Amino acid sequence: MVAAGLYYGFLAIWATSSPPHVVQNIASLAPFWIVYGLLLVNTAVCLWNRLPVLRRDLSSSRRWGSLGTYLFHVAFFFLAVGFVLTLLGRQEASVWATVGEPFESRPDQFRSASAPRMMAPGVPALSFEVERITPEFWRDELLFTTLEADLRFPSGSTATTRINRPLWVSPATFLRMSGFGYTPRYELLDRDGLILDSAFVKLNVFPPGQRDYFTLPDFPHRFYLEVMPDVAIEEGVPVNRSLNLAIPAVALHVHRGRLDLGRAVLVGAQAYEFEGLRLRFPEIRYWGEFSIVRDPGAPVVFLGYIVGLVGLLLKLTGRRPEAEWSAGRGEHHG
Amino acid sequence: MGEWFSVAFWACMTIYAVVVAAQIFGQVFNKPRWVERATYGVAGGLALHTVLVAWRWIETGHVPTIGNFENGLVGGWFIVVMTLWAGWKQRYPLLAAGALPFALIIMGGGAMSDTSARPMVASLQSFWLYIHIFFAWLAYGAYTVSCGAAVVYLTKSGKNKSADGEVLGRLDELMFRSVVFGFITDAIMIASGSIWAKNLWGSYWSWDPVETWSLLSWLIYGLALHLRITMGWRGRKLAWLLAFAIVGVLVSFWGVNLVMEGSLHVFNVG
Repeated sequence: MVAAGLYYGFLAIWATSSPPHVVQNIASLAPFWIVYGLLLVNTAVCLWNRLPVLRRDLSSSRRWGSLGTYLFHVAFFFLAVGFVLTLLGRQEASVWATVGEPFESRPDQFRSASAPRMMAPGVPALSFEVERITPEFWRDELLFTTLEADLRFPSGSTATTRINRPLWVSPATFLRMSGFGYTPRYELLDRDGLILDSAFVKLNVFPPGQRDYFTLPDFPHRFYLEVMPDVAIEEGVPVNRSLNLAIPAVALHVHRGRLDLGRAVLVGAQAYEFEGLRLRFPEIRYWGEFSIVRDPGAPVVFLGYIVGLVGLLLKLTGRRPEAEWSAGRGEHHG
Repeated sequence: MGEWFSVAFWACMTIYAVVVAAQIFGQVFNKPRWVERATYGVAGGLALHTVLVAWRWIETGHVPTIGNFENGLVGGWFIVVMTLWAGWKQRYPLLAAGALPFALIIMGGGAMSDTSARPMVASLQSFWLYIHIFFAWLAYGAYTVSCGAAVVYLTKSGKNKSADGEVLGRLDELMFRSVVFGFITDAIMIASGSIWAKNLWGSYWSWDPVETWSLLSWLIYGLALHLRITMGWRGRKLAWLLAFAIVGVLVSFWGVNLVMEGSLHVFNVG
């Protein structure tokens, strides 16, 4: 116990000045797990040995405070087990889904996914379609007052998730919204106006001023974009008025290798012509960033919180288990 | 903050500072009436402080919880309320001299940061935010009272001091009870913050420095309770522990974001 106390005390002090990823790396080392395991076993044994004392207290004098102490320390056991389950089984995957795009958990639809763990062979399969994404901003600043997404599931049910209100799909799995961006739909046309290619491209072009690019498989060009969600022309210059997607415009810059093929600001169905081709962006939608998280430890930890809180409150009932100060000569009596 | 708000804010700070100075003066130069009358100053300062909190609330349209300034303003209010209650209830007005400096520190520190009104952003629109912050203020207020009581205990007791046993007994009891109160509310704060973190960041514990420090300070106060209940620590031993335990609270609330970058626990938004 003393060795564990010193070890974890040292780690705790060191962790307070270290970035989180360093602390998480420490939790993967053998000494951490050996001491942790011994503490877990020690806690379990102590709780087991304490049971007869608890039974005696409750049957003879109904000392609910004694039960409170017991429950509070049981809660530590729940927390410790929950923490282990999280380390061994937590999985998180990130998805960018555009409004109207069905997400079906195909491997190519994930932007990122955490590595498989001992108790988590893969990201849980989930299917949904984004019906609407609603961001709202305060004045003209990059402060969201609302960011939510309406989702439809294959069963026909719908639900809304917000940036701090996840959807629970099972006791250990939830879906949360963590960001959004713009998805322009491009149309590439030839000289005769025939559409050669058209698709939505999810780009990192939020907030306005952020620049991203995309390429097309059969063409050597690179297309750089910035999106102005609410453009107005002031003295011949396009100016962005707000962050709301009202009158969107695309600032396009085309390259072929090192050759600069020019740039333009395109509003609505306006097209840019280059090397016998025309490119336009008739539509811009939102994409939402969603995280699918499976954490088998979370329900256990939260149960531990409840048990611990009940224990603490029970401790307030009944007589205090220690000496009280006696007035007069300043002596205390047991 | 607006001009009149600024005037009222600094007037409130001045009242608290004068109260602390008056109580210290009364204690050092053995003028108990200065100590007792300064308590009325605390009440007056608190009345003005309450007006400031309500003013800010109306101005922003939400509970003042965003940013170091608002957290300092409301956190300081809780500290003063609990100090006034404890001092009045325990008939020990000198408590303000030990506890009010912390209110001055967090309010002053908040005033040095961005004081402009900010909306309740989407990430903070959560039921759990209000629970988390409310119990944080209760906990930190209680810990501050325990620290203040500890400081007063240490100044009143000692080898060459003929302290009244009853007075020391009440202070000892106040230290213990305020730590118990703070420990329970701190536990609720940590749990509710963890649930909110799971909703907002996808993980109930990220080993963020603020999270780690708040857990560490909670464990220190848990240790203090253990030492009191099972080992019989009381009086000066407990007072010394509680006088220094407040450091963990100050660091987790304030120090981490001053010294480190990259904490997810950013009190200022925008």
